[in-house]
Amino acid sequence: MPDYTSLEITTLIVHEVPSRSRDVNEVAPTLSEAESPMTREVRNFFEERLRATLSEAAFAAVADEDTDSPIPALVDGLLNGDEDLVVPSQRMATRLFDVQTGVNSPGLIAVARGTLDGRAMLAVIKLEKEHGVRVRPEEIDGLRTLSVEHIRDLMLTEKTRVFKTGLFWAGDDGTEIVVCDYQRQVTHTVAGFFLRDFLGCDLATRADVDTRTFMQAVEWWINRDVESPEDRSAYSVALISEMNSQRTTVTPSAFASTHLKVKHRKSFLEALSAADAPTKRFVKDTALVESQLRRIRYDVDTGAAVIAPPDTIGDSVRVVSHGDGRTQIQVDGRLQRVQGKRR
Amino acid sequence: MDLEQVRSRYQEERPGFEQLARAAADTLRQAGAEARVPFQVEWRAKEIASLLKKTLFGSTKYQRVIDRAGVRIILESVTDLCAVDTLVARHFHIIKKQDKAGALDRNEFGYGGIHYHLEFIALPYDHLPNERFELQVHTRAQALWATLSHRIAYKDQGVGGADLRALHRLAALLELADLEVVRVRQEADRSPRRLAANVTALLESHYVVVGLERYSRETTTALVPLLLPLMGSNNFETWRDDFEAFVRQHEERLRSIYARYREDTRNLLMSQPESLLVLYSRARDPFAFSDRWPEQLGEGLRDSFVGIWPDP
Repeated sequence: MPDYTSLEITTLIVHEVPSRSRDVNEVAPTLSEAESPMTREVRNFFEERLRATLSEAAFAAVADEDTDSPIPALVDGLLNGDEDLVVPSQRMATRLFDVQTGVNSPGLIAVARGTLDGRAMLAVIKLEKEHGVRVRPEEIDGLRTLSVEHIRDLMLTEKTRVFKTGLFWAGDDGTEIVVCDYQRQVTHTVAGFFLRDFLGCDLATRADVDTRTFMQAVEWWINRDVESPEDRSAYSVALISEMNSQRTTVTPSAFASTHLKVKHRKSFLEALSAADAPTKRFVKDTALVESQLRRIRYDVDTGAAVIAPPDTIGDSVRVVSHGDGRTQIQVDGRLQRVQGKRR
Repeated sequence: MDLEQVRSRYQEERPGFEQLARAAADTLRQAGAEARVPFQVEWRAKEIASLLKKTLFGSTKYQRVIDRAGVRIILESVTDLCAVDTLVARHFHIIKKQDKAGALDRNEFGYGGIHYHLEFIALPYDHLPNERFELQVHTRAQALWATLSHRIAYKDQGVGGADLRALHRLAALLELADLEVVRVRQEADRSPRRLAANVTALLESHYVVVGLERYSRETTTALVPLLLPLMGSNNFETWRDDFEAFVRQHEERLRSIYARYREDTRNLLMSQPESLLVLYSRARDPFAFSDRWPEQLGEGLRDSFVGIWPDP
């Protein structure tokens, strides 16, 4: 992943994309005919939002070779010397309008040009605004565009927090892509209409491999860096709970904030990074770790082991630290069977 | 050399040793001010009579009398010894270093201090003699004891056993006094008002370099106490070292960020020195930053800083 700190925007154009109604002819995108005037405030606002969201929740993506979306070709042109931003961005807005249905929120599409790590960069951002917020176009030299005042209004409201982004930049081996669908408190993948139908892309990584790497790295970290037996047990339960949850993605930083003590969070992310495990949001697929999600195993140095279902930990199975390095694992229940270990 | 030759030669060379001691003292004083290590510096060239006495009764040859030029540093607290050692090593070749207190037995109390034999790494003036000189580093208590014992025991050969016992008893008390100074200073530094004042002064001194020259002092006074949890420590001196390392490491990046926010009024803190504390906290531990962010300042401002200094 690139260093988003270096992300800088130089030019920006914003178009309005309304919601589709049954009678398509009645609505159409409001297309700007000139780049939006950009004050330092507007520029900083977009840069801040992009850096914050991408650094937390971006997925690597690749262009779909069979797509009928014009976006990959338009992006390639803009990254490789096309000077005019207006017409390509209008075509992008039109494409977004075409692939949206009545269930998609109305909003604005912002296309920003700039640099990332010193290389040409293009960001395609869908800002979803609340119903009833009107766009006020203004004219500059006879050309229609969005006013700075309006963009400032958007910046000052919480209504624009939800947005989807495709970020493209010139890499060593062609165009690099990350995509992000950012909603506070919600973890989900990138909406299909935005990723595939609009951007003409698909996710680049294998979710099952990412999930297994993440889980192995977390278990390794728990056993190496977490001293307290109670914390180790609680974190293991949290990991399995996260893997078994209905959420389709895992955000490591959110996992840390939710389940780990503050003093452990930083070393947790560092351990993920050291193990080449995902440190940013990734799609979850537990196919390769399914068997590990049903039981938690505790091994102690005397050779004894306790195996328990995760939902019994803290209830009928309790882990107690004695402070002198010894740990007691208490198991309550009716003994049903005793047998030698089978291979 | 006989005694008269020594006297004659030293009389001729003494002004050079005076200049050498003064130059070494000036160098140390300036280095201490830059590093904000509080200490006093004294210097002198050895008196002719004293030098003659040393060469007459001892076996010391003229060239081996290192303290012909002598400098003394008097510290507020023994905790500054390490900082002084760093300063000394930066400007001088250390020929010899001796911890006098370290040489005492566990049940013995007496002369304490660090003695160095030094040479300038680069002489500040061409005409200075390129000679070795002595630097003594004392705390105030050690300096007091050294002066007293010099007067009583060293110069008055007829001092009695009871007086010597009193002198060593005093050394033990003064060692306790040094430890008390450390404790009192640490306690004072930890009081919220003192801590806020120290942090404010530090933030302001760096902000005028990497940030903007004009800001609201009233706002800083009001906000710094609120933002103190972002330090992650109550020990100002330890934290200061880490904060200054952060500023040094990211100086160019900080300059670039502040240049971009010069005309941006959305984020009120970015035009204030306290933003440096926020950026430091973001950089050091994003999780701790979120955990310690003051609720009163709101999520919008917090998120702005996340965008200014994103997760690595």
